Order: sequence, then structure tokens, then C-alpha cells
Amino acid sequence: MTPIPSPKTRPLPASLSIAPSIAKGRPAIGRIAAQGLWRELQSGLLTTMLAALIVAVAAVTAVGFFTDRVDAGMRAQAAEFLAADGRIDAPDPLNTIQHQAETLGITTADTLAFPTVVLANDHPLLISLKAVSPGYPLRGTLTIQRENVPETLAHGPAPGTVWLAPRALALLGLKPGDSVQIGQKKFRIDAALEREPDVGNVLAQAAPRAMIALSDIPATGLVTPASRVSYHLLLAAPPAQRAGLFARLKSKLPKSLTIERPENSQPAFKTAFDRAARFLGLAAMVAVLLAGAALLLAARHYNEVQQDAAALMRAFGASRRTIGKIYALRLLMLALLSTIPGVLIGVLTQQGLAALMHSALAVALPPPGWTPALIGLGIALIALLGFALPALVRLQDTPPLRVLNRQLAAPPPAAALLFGVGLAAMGLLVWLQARDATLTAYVLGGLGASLLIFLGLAWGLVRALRLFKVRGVARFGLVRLAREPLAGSIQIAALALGLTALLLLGVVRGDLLDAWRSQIPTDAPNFFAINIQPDQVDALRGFMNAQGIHNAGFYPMVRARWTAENQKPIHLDAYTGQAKRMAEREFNLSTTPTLTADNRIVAGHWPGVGWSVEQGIAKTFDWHVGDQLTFLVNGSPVTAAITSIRKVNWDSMRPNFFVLGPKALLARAPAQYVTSFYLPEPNVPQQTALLRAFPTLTLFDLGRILAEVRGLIDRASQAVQYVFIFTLAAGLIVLIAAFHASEAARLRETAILRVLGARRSQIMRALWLEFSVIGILVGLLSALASGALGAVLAWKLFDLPGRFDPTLLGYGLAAGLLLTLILVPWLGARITRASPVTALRG
Amino acid sequence: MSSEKLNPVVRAAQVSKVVTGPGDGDGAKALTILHEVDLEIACGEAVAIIGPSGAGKSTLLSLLAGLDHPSTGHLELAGFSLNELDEDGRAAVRAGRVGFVFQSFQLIDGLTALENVALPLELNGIADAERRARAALVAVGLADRLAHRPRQLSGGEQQRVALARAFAGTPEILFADEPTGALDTATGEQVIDLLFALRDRHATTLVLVTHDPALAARCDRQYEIRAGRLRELASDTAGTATA
Ligand SMILES: Nc1ncnc2c1ncn2[C@@H]1O[C@H](COP(=O)(O)OP(=O)(O)O)[C@@H](O)[C@H]1O
Ligand SMILES: [Mg+2]
Repeated sequence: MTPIPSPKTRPLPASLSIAPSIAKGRPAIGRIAAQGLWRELQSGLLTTMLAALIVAVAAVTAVGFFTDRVDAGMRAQAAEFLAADGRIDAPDPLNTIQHQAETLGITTADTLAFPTVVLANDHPLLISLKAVSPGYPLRGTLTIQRENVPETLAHGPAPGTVWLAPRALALLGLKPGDSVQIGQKKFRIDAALEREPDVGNVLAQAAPRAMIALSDIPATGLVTPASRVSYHLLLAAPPAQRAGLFARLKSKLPKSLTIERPENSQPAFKTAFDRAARFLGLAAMVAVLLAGAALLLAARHYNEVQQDAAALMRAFGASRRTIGKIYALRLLMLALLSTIPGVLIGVLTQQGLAALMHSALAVALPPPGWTPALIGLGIALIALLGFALPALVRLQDTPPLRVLNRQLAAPPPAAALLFGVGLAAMGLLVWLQARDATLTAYVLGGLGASLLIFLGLAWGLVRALRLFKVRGVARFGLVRLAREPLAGSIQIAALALGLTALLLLGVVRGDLLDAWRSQIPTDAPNFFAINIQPDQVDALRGFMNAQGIHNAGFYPMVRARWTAENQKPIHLDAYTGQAKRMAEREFNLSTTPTLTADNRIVAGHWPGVGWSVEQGIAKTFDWHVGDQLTFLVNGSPVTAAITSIRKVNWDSMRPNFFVLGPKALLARAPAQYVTSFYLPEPNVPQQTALLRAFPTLTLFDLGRILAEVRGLIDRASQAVQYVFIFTLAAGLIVLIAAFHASEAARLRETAILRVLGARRSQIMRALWLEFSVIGILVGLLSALASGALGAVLAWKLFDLPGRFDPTLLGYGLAAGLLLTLILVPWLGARITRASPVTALRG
Repeated sequence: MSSEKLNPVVRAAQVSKVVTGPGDGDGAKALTILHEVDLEIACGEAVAIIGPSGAGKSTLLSLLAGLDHPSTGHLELAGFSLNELDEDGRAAVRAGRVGFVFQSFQLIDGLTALENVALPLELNGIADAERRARAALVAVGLADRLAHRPRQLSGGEQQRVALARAFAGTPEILFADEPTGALDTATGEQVIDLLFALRDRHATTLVLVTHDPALAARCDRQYEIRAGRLRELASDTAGTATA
């Protein structure tokens, strides 16, 4: 007879002691699940799973909270670029509409602007005059400077005074306190106007700014029904009522007017934030996927360890359902348990990130909402259901007879189930995080492919090892790898995944961030010059060369109106929003024999006989290669087919055009030239000299925007580095999980080996051999994977050609061997400490 | 009582084992699992140690085989004094001289039957390990199971692999700890028959732990252990126990 082992002869898992409570009445599932959870957390069995979950939740919530807040902050900042939540532009006064808006409860302010001339000591200067009502700006602030001290204000100039752009002051040789004549009124110069929120389209603001109070306008006598004045009505409303109020106002507007919303005011910022958000999202996503891998490994291990408990519960009469429920409930509890610290860490982290971004943002970030916390809980649940549950479902199938014969085990979870559900969960997680189908496909495809390659290579190598004729225990080390190709390969793949995260953090991240920063090089053009006449080009080029100014070339530019597509006249009413605004505006057409590095042909051919259009505008208007476009150039229509579509890097700050035509097409039009160049700060004397030599030329200073975008990218890339710490933590947890998973088996095997007479040195030798092979393999695999991932990221995020950095192989090998150097002594100490007596105790 | 052995291969003198019982800190209590055990086993003898569960059988076996060290007392194995040796030294004494059979087989899952049997031979640097392992497996009737893994074998087959592993190195002493404990009666009997057949062929000294009196009766001498105290049973007492 085989005796039933009593707790005396074999130490039983802690959770067995609760088994008898199953037998009475309704099984106390909740209590059993909770007690088991608590004991296993204390004994460290579930700690890996908990840690993995906490990291995943923390990463996702930190990034979620942060991007939510930045999104809202961006909208606030965009409002600042408009000085309002909404704006109506018109060629005529907007008094009636202003009245309607105020009756609705919308706060308003109004401004008007037109080009005119200021006179100082009979010296005229073309300026862009802007008159603002009290209340302006409704959003954002102005910066002025009186005596070299910048002041931030939330109102315009006092009546009788004028604020002048520093450029105007420099050109006129004036300073605050002096007087100027505008129209029929004399104004005292109160301050230099450094910055106004609603600069609008920089290209439209041709001349330097002069700002006065709206109440001074009649006294100037400049505004008559015939003058070319643009009127702006600024609108503001609390966020909650905003959409509703604006919609009601919109319904009262004449058809020709729209309310411009601040969404797309600053493309350079938007691009930078989008990239940062994507980068942060990816870092969090990789962290979550790594955590998933750790969960999978830990759950497999947990499954093995829990079989005794499951068998005993079944022996005591628990049904399969009961067992299934107990473990499902325990996972649910684990999810909740990990969400609380995870969300807390996430909140703290996003607070840190927000503080970091504070100086790069002109506005304070609004407080975070609650959604990211819920997403965190969701992530924990999905990760557990996807990665841990499949490994545990078969626990309920543990044969009760196992209590008599430990050789009996639950059937191992089907590989298809493990990987199928895991993959689905991954897809869901990546999609939740990226909300971008293409990126999801790339990341999943990339990860799936690298995992397959990992497994394939590891398996092949492990098989090849069997061919080696190594003697003694050393052989045992290799055989151990070769004998269980699946388990061995999974372990190698897991290690490689962890190391890939490390290499991404250590090497690829730096490359990517450098690439991002170098999108705006230090000598990126900070000035734009337009209105250059063809006969001025050579002289200007000579002047610039003499001044040591490097220009990015001169481009001819003609104004044109888009009139027909495929011979059918276009109807503006067919378009809405941005498309409508773009269609109404005049296009700047250009021609160039060679494309700059900012342009990449994505469809069609270059050079061609027709139009070359930018990808974004082609998408907006649904233009395709082969479509016939007609532009009205200087009164006469020019029709040609689209022969290529270009992707343009707008960040470069060099002149780029939506539509390019071949030289022949534009020959008849009177072109003006544009150029951009870099002038190191301080540059007021050079500006003045340039404008004195070429008075008709119009100069735009992009310095401030450039500096702000640079600051933003710097801060954002720092934020990304911090979020990568989660990725690193998740990678480390994968490594730990991989070891936990094999530790029990190693302990047992070492005990047997020692009983059979193996010395410590022999066991260590086997371990060194095994892990040297693993280290090399893992190093190479992770170098390849991180290199490939980096290339994909560069390509998808930065439109840079993805290239493989060969030094990665060196780093990878070094990291792999370092891993061996650290792990073998550690693991060796752990497993050889175990007494061979354990072999006797089964 | 036969205390004057000419050529003892296993010798225990006044051996005690004290462990710290469960409970932590001040609550921890010293627990004596073996009390001043004296034992001598001569070369070629078959000795059974019987006793109820928890009596200390496995503990004694692990001390005799040098798997563990005693709290007090003196131990000798194959002429080596174990007291002065560390774990590595004791492993060196075991290597090539001692074979083991356990209740739970203790085969290595990742290795085939053949590799499991060859492993201790390879550990000792024996050149034709594989040939001898093969021969040992043929001897236990598993010629057609060489490439199987432990999980692919029945309990009885696994224990036969363990027997092959134990005897392949032609050990001087075989320690067996309840070798039939995990097997059904019929299979257990087959394994025991095989064990004794191999022992007879190789003239191996056998130390067999069991709680089965019938099995114990097949040995030359029997000891009983109760609550950590060992005493030898007279041959006729053992005889009546089997009857
Ligand atoms: N490391 C240990 N710590 C505490 N108690 C132990 C230890 N090893 C064995 N024991 C106890 O010593 C007694 C004898 O155990 P064992 O030798 O395994 O008994 P047997 O093999 O006769 O069933 C048992 O009560 C057991 O619980
Ligand atoms: Mg025992």
C-alpha cells in the first residue's frame, strides 16, 4: 500500500492548510483566494508577478496622465496663440456679431490691423498697426520691455501710447520715451513690444508691429470705409460651455464667416508634442509588453508550484470550477493590488514629468483627469488575463491522484492558448497605448518577428549544441540547454527581450533622441526673407556672403489661386475647416530644379513635367498622381497633371512649398524670391544693415519660435528618458522571472548531482559553460533586436533612414557576457548552497 | 548483537542530529531527531532500517551517506572519516563508491534514460560511460527505453532507470530510501526483486530504509528506529515479524 504522505513527511505548500474548508458547504472561494494570495506574496512567489504588474500600470498611467495633461495644456497654449478660445476674422467691423456673442454670454474683445506708416523725425517706416480693445488678450499674455526689463502683461497699451517692435525701434533709431506720428495723431513710445500672443501667420505679418489702443483709432483718421483693414473678434468662454456657445454663435453668423479655433495654430509645437507623446507611448508600451513576458514566465512557474495545492483541494472534493474560480479570483485580487501602487507611482511620475516640462510650456498644465487610472486597471487586467491566466487554466485539471503520486501533473497549458491569448492581449495593449493602427501593426509585427527569430535561432543553436561531444558535468550544462529546446529557448528569448530593453535604453535611445534634437540643427535658419525681386537676388547673395551669412538658397515664388481639378471648377463650399481655409487662400507656387534634403518623393517621379505636391495637402484635397490641377497665375490659368507627391520635413525651417511646378510652367508669372538664413544672436545690427541695403525686402525673425521648439524638444526628450526607466525596470523583472522559473528545477537537479558525487567546482563549470553560451546568444540576439527596433522607430517617428549601428553588436556581446559574469556566481551561490539532503525529501 | 565487524564500510558512533524546530527567534526550539546512534555495517552486508514515518530513517540515511553532517558523533564511509570533510570532500568520497535509490526516483527530467544513467559515470570521468550506461539499462530490462525521458516512463520504469544508474558505477554501497514508496505493490515487488538480484551480482553492501517488514526481512540484519533511537532487532524477531 502506498501511504498518503502526511504533512510530517513532506513539507506541504502553505496554501494546503486551507484545503479542508472546501469540504464544508459552499466553498469559501474568496477567503481561500485571499489567504493564498497573502501567503504567496509573503513567501515571494507572486512578487515577480506583482512587480511586473506594478511597473506596467505605473508606466501606462504615468504616460497617460502626462499626455492627457499636455494635450489639455497644448490646447490652452494654442488658445494663447489666438489670444482667445475662438476668433472671427472679417474685412468689415464685427459690431453686430460682438453684441450677439455677448448676449449669449461669450466674453469678447476686438482688434483690427492694417499696414501703415509711422513717422519719426520725418523718417517713414512701413509698419503693421494693430489696435486692441480693453480685455485683449482674452488668453495668454504680452511681453514688453521698458528699460531692459521684460514685463509680462495681460492688457494692451494705454490710450495715447504705442508699443513698437524692437526691429522698428532699431530701424528708426528710437527708444521708449520718444514720440512717433501715426496718421494724424502723435503717440508716445511706451515700450518695446517683445511678444504678443496672437502673432498669427508669421508670413502675413510683413512689417514690424506697432500696437495702440483701439480707442485711439478715430484720432489717427486712418480707418475709412475704403482702407484695407482686417477686423478680428476674439471670443472666450469657460471650457464646459465653450462648444455649445460657439455652436450657437456659429448658427447666427453669415455664411462667409467662421469661428477659427486654436487647434492648429503652431504646427512646430504640435509636431514636437506628437512625437514626444508617441515616444512616451512607445516606451510605456515596451514596458507593458516586457511586463507581459515576465508575467508569462512567472505564471508558468506559479502553475508548477501550485499543482500540489490544486491536487489536494481536488482530493478534498473541490470541483474543477471551484479551483478555476479560486485562481481567477486570486489573479483579480492581484490586479487590484497592483493597480493601487502602480497608479500612485504613475501619478508621482507624471507630476515629476509635468514639473520638468513646466519651463518649456508657456501655460500651466491642468490637473490630471481620472481616465488614466482606469486605463491602468484595465492594463493590469488585460495583462493578467492575457499572460497569466492561460498558464493557470490547466491547474483545475490537476489530477487529485497527484497527492499520492507527485509524478502526476496537470497537462501543460496548450502552447497555442498561451501564445494566442498572449498575442491578442499584446495587440490590445499596444493598440490601447498607441491608438494608431499602423504603429500597432509595426510594433506587433516587429516584436512577433523578433520573438520568432529569437526562438528559431535559440532553438537551432540549442539543437546544434547536441552535436558537441563534451564530457562530464560540463556536458550536462549544455545538454540542459539542448534537452529542452522549448524551455531553453523561452529562457533565452526572455533574457534577450530584457537585454533588448537595456540596449534600447542605453544605446538606441541616445541615438534616437540625438536624431530628434538634430531635426532642428543649431544653425537652423532663424530668418525668413521675402519680397526679393529677381534682379536683387545676385546683389543680396553677395551682401550675405560678405556678412558671413549662410543662406539656404533662393526660391522663386508666385502667388496663385487654385481654380479647377480635373477641368472641373472647385467649389469652396465642398470643403470645410482647414481644407476650406487652405482652398480659399492663395497658394505660394515655386519651382526648383533640385529638391532639398527636406523633400522625399513618396509617389510618382521627380523631376516631372507637372506639379509636385506635398503629401499632407494631397491628402486634404484627395489629390493623386495623374490628377489635373489648374492654378490661376497672374490672371491666366496654368493646367498640368500631378507628377509626384512629396513628403516634406517642415521642421527644418527652410522654405518649402506645398506645390512645385517645373520652370516652364511658371515662366510667365512675375516671381519674387524667398530665402532663409541663419544669423547668430545678437543680430539687430545685421538686420538693420540688411534692411537699410534692401528696403523693400521683408524679414521675419523665427528666433523665438525656434528657441521655444528647441526647449520643448529638450524637455520632452528628458521626459522620455525618465519613462524609459520603467522599460528598464520591466526588462530587469523579465530577467528575474526567467531565473525564478528555472530556479526550482536547478535546485533539484543540483541536489541530485551532488548526491551522485558532483563537486561544487564541477557544477560551477557546467553553469559557466551553459551561461557563456546563453550570454553570447542573448547578446547577439538583443543587439539585432534593439538595432532593428531603433531603425523602425527612427523611420516611423522621425522619417530618418533607419540604419543599424554595428557597435550595438559589441555592446550586446559585452552586456550578454556581463550578464553571465553576474548571474553565474549569484546563481551558483544559490544552488550549491542547497544541501543534497533535499533529494531525499522529494 | 554483532558489534565486532572486521571490515565496516559504514560506521556511526554516538551520532546525534539536532535541528532547530519551527518557530522563529526566541520561540525556536532545538529538536533532536537522532539520539546517539551507533551502527556498523560490514562489506557485503544487507541491512534494513525500519520504523514509522517521521522516526528519523531518512535523516540517518543521509548522515550515513555523507549527504548531511551530524551534530555530534563520528561517521565513517568506505574507510573515510566524514567528520573532517566538507561537502565537496564528502562528494568526492561518494563519487564512484556510493549508489542511491530514492522513493521519488530523482531522475533529471531534461535527460533521457541513457543520459541519466551515464551522468554519474561522466561525473567521475569514466571513458566508456555511455556503453556502461547502456549495459546497465539492458540489465534492468529497459533496452528499448534508452531515449525516453523520465516523464515518458511509468513509475516502475523510472525506478528501474534509477537502479541502473545506481549500479552502473558498480558502487561499494547502495543506499535505498523507501524505493517502493511511490509504487504499487506488484511493481514494488518487481523493483525489489531486481534490486536484490543486482546486489547479489555485484556483491554490493546495501542499506535499505523501509517501513515494510516483509521487505526488511529479505536483508541480513534489521534495525528499528523509533523517535530517533536506533536498536538492532534480533534475527529471530525479524523472522517472526515476517511470518
Ligand atoms: N531540516 C529539518 N528541520 C526540522 N525538522 C526536520 C528536518 N529534517 C527532518 N526533520 C524532522 O525529523 C523527523 C525525522 O524525519 P525523517 O528522517 O524524514 O523521517 P522518516 O524518513 O523516518 O519518515 C521528522 O519529524 C521531520 O519532520
Ligand atoms: Mg523518509
